Amino acid sequence: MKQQQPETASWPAYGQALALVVGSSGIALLGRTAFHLPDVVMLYLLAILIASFRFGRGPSITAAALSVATYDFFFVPPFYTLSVEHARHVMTFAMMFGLGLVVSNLAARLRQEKQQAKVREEHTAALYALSRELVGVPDAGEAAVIAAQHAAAVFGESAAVLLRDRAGKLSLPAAAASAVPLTPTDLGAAQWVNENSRPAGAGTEIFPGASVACIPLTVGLAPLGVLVLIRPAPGVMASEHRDFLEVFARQVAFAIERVRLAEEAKAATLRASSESMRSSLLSAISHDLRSPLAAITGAGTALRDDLGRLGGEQRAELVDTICTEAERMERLIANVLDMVRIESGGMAPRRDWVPLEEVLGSALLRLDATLQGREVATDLPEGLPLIPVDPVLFEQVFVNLLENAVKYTPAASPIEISARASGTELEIRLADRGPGIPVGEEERIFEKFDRGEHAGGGGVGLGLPICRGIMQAHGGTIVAGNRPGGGAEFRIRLPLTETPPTVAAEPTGEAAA
Amino acid sequence: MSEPGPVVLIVEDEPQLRRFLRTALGVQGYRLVEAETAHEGLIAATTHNPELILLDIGLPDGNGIDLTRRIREWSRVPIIVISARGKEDDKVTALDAGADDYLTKPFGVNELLARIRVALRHAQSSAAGPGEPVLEIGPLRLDLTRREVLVSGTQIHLTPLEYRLLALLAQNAGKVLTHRQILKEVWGPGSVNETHYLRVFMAQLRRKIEPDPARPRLLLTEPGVGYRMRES
Repeated sequence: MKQQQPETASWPAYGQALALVVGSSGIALLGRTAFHLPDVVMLYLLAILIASFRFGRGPSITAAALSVATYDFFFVPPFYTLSVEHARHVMTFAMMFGLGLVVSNLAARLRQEKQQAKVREEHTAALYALSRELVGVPDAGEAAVIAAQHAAAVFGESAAVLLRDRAGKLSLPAAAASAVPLTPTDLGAAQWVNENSRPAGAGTEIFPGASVACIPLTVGLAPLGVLVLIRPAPGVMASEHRDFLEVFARQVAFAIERVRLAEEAKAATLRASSESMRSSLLSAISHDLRSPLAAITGAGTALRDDLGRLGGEQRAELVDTICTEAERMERLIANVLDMVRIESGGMAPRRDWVPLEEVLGSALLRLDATLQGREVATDLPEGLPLIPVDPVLFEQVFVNLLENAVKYTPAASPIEISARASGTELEIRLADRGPGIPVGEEERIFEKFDRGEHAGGGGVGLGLPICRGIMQAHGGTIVAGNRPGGGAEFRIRLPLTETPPTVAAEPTGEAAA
Repeated sequence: MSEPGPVVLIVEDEPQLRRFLRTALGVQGYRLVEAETAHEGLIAATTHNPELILLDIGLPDGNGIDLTRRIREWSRVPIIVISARGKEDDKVTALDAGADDYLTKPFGVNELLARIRVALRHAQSSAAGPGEPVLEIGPLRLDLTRREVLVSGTQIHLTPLEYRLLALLAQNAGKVLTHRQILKEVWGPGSVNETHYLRVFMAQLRRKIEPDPARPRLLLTEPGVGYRMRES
């Protein structure tokens, strides 16, 4: 539409029409002895015809008039004057000129139809391109940005799509905010359109002086936003192009509505699943809190109400029960708190550059008592880079994985930890020689409250989901599988995209000894 | 108990925890003064002149960190703060504000007594002037006058920074030092935020003096807080 030409011919077209007439005259003059008058007339008519089809109405009428004049001047006696002897020549002049008019009208209509067909084709192509790009758009903001890009390409210098929120307020999607400069006046016009659901701005009756044209985006009666064309191409709002503009706007509106509906459906599913999650969390926690609590209460009252019947060994056993069960409760509560923090998105890692060895070392130290008698083989190659992690959270990943290994594998079976760094990734492998993970359960164990079929008891299955949550917060992954020869294997991957800071080597020499 | 034990001020709003501390410390011969709020704690600290303060960071009338700062304006009495898990920031702030150590709730009685012993010992030795010239911690022997380091009888060569780092931790054995405190002492006040320096040198040091650097027994990490040399 931008490239559409108005129906006025340019000066070169007139020049070319003139050249055609001069050419015809030349040929006729050269063959003057051989040609009869009707041949000369035909020659001129040919020139008029060509001018009509090639150069448009103005040049063709000019060609007709010139043809009449030159024909009269050179070929109609008295020669070399514009006067005429016989009335029948006047008839020829009238026919020549009349034919020129008719043909040029016909030609003009033909050209116009061709032009319209071309515009229609362009419109169809533009709408097709728009709908194809809007098909897979994930959110309304992106749909708005894409629609604005297309509108700018088709209608004007630039464009923006403002989205209407639930409260009826218009806003520019964040992704487009920097690209499109909208003045307060532009926004005022857009707001008017938002409220009245009628086009306004340049080319309309409302705010005709504005530099923008605003078109409402509606589906049925529901307003969804406003399409703003900044410095629109002339004629965009003219009645003959309105239809296309409206179809364009409707298509954008449909796309926005589709995305909005999909977003709402997704939010509803999420709400439902998080509610069911919460209730199963509650029932799991209350069960897991009650059993150690029952043991503590039982042991405590037995000691308090003892009337001297308990022996030293029995007393020690009851005291031991209280301590271990209290520790179990503490672990559970800590896990639940971590899980809640992950779920609520409140776990922003506080990254620092740390050696993997240190994080692993503090995890092993924290589990010193739990790991009594276990062989833990660590294989960390020298020269591992510093890794950008939250040391407290990352330690928790190892603590949970190691506790898990201790819980599910035979008492004396070894645990192996190794790490390898490629250029862009750190892979940590933690493997045991226990019964392994049942086939098909490799993903399920990372879901909340999965405790494994063969669980020895104790603790809601929150350890692995917490590991996954922490890894995700770090932009990494954790997966589980079985290793050849039996046993489970956990693989942690952490992207290493940033360059670790360098620590200047210390000049050796004055050593302390 | 022939002579009266040290006076310990407990600033703690939870009656159950106060009862536990009273019982656990009373048996050991400590004399106890109790306060329930930061305000009471400040008054008790000035009137009873305690030899050690156990201070809960979360108090109903303000936080223990402010109280630590107030007390540090005029006293060097050892302060051990009590804090919850997951509040590493609070611990670091309290330590940097002048607290000597921390305990994470829930804690066992052995841990409590060990921390109190270390804090009291450090208070005494710093009052007595320069400490022992030779420190022995497990297999480690550090001769401060000769700048000599031995592990299980074998001499170890350290760079100047590694030596300063080891000496600082060994002189404060049993006590936690924050990253900031160590960086300031070893690298200087301009480097207090360069924790990765410290971490890299700590890894080097562990490789030289720990039999298994991935399972350190002497140079312990306090995640998110700092480091602690094992108590001899």
